[in-house]
Amino acid sequence: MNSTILSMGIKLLVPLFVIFSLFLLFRGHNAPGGGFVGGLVFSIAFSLYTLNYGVKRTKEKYKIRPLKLIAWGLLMAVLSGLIPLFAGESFLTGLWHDEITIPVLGKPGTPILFDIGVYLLVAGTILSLIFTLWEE
Amino acid sequence: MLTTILIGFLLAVLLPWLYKFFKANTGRFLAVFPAAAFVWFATKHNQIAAGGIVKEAYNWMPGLGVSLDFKLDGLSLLFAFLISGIGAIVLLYAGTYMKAYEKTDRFFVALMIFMASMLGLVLSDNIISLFVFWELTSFSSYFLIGFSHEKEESRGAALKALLITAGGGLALLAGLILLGIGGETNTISELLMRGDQIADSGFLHVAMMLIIVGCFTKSAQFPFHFWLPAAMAAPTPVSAYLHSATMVKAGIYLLARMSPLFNGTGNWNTTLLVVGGITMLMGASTAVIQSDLKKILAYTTVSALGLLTMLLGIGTEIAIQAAVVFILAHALYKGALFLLAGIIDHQTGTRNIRKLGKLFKKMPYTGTAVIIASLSMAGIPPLFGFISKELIYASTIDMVINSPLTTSAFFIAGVLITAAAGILSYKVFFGKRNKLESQPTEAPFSLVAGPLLMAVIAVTLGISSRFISPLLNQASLAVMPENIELQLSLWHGINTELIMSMATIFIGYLTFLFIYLNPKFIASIKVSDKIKTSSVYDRTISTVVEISKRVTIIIQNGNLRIYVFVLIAVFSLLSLWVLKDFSVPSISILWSDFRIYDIVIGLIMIAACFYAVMAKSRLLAIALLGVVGYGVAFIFIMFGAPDLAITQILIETITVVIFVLVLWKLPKFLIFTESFIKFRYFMISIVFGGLMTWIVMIVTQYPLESHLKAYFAENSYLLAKGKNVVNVILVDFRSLDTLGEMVVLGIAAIGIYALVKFNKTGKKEEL
Repeated sequence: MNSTILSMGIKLLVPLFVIFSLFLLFRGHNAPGGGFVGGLVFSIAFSLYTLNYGVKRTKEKYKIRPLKLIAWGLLMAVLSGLIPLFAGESFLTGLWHDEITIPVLGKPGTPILFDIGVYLLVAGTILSLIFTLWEE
Repeated sequence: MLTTILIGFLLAVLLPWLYKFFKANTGRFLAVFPAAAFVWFATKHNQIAAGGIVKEAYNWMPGLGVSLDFKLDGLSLLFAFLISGIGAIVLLYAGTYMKAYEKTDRFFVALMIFMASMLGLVLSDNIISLFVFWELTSFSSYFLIGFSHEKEESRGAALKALLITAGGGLALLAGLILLGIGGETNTISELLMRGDQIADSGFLHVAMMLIIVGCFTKSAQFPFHFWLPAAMAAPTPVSAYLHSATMVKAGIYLLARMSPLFNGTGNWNTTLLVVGGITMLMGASTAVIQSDLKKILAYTTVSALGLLTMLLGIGTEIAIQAAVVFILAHALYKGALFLLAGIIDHQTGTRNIRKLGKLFKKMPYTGTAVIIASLSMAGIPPLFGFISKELIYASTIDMVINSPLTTSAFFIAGVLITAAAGILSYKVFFGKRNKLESQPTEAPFSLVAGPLLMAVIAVTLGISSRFISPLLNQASLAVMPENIELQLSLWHGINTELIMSMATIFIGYLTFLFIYLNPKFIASIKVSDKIKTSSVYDRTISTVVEISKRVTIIIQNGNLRIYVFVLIAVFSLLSLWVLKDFSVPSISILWSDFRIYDIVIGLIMIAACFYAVMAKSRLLAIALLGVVGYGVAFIFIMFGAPDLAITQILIETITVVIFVLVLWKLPKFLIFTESFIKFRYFMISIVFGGLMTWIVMIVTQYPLESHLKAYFAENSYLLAKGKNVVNVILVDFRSLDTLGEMVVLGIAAIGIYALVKFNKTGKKEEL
């Protein structure tokens, strides 16, 4: 696809997309957003880049490995489930640290970890689809 | 105990990194874990031997009565010693032995998972956690048998073992759950005391038969035995560890564990006695006509497992004691023999006994270990195997009915096993033929040390059996709480058992001589396929494959249009079936409720749909469907569902991107000219659209109030500290569902990758 506007624009937009996706991810607990939506935005950024520059350049420039994103996503989600076990709670119980409030992130707790897992997994799944279909 | 098991699993998870660090020393490093576990269990020995019990309990899914309860009693400790002790030896051995293989990190991962699960299995005091560990052992065994996955034989053997043991596992699960319902508890030690209650519930016999099936498949009893000889495709350390010393005894373990509940009821004793006896005789007679060292050992293992089942079936005080003693004796000599067979294979390059001979001078340490282990297998004093054989004879002679029949069955098996021991030791190390191309040398110390140690233990336990008596006594008490005290000794005076034992050895020797002197006759014996149960399995599998091929050709014809048509048609018919009792509700539409932009968006969507149907190119149709999608997103926004709207917009965008990617690969856009096809799609669309409208009309008839809605709205901030209820439900209240969906998504992505990338050219590209 040869569109100068898109190919120039997307270069500038990728970082913005990524920041916006992280913003969506972390605000998700209290306002519309969340890991799923964040992951989708993340993957759209690189999908558009891929449409213009191809998979090879995207991989070289951003060092993205979708299958690894999927693996890390699942690992984070499972970890967030395992942590409560050590506190004597059952699997996937949400644990919160009430005293601290981190700016942007809010209160640290295992559901945030879980949401990050969702984010990585969704991003990895969509990108592995895009990369696979493009390369063929 | 939970810590021990978790460390095992953790090591398996961390192994890829550990392997990078330790490389060839991985086996030696990992051996520290079972060795440490062995020491930990050893510190509990005195307490258990005095009749104590160690218990641990952790909640897992308390709502379902599933907990991680662990109980260490005599029987568990005996198995724990075997698993950790032989485990350490096998890991040390594998560290050297596996150097010839590639990707051994995978091997160690599966082996560590197995070790941890096997420990979990014998320590579990809850039926569900026991079952989970049980299945994990089958699962890791699958990977270990199929380790050389480029060989068709290995893959077939792995699948065979998995289908048989996991299939039996399903029967076991059903049996255990029935017991749990009948006894109203999932704790095994509680269940064992509630025999009357379970009998009153009427589940006792069904549960018993199901559990027996599960145990028989796992412990390779006739007619399920054939997976075990096939499993010899695994690397030798696996055969020694899983398929002789530990995993195949899991079935025996569970039968023994359940004995207090079932012994003396229904068909328990008859089933175990008959099936065990058949397995024992079949295994022993097949073993002596094999020419592959590992196959000989595999069939003698089948025979030994049959003997154990038979002893549990006899179910008298002395038979239970004989079974417990034989578990230890067999694990020691058979584990050692497997490892030694691996050494012979490793050093000479063949396992064919017709080629092997005169190895003793070249491999003196291996030879010594083989001879000691074989003597124990043949039951020759003063080895531990002799003590075990004496007890077995005592228990068969002691039987009230069928004593002569059972005793002679064991006598025949004993003779054949003695002959097999002769073949393994005399033929290989002193026999005449030696057709080896290369000159074998003694194996490195790291290979011989483990089996030599096991042989030495077999001698030590034989001479000073009183050291192990208290533990074995407690183990037999766990199987039969009112048992008499077990006293082991080499010399009982001249009695029937001793005479029988000596006769077995003598006739066994003669049989060995016959086999040794007539190799051509033995080689000419062929077992007809018609009487092999494995051919039933092979036929079943090939029939299933054939049927599924035919079904696939019909269902998966490659035409996407037909798939969608069938999906929608089936969905519509099923919905109509469910909804046939509902009438079309009357709803009154108040036009004043509509806002102007509702109407505008509605009209846009209707127009887009109309043009999408009439579109003359695929790109146009997709763009128009996109318009409909964005329209839906707008509706979500207007009705206060911003989360849904964002998701909808993003999904629409990605769909368009993916469509652009595959667009040029799709076949030419078809415009139907045949009116019949047009009519068919028109009709199905009308039916589906009408049906959906109807469903929406019915749904709106009912109030949307539900206690869940109120609960989530109320507790989302209080319990889960989030103001966005949708997100809180996804990541907290219903996070297990989300986790499941995540796994599905991940598998789907990997599946698509595999489908597209692993084409027949075998070209792979890392993603």
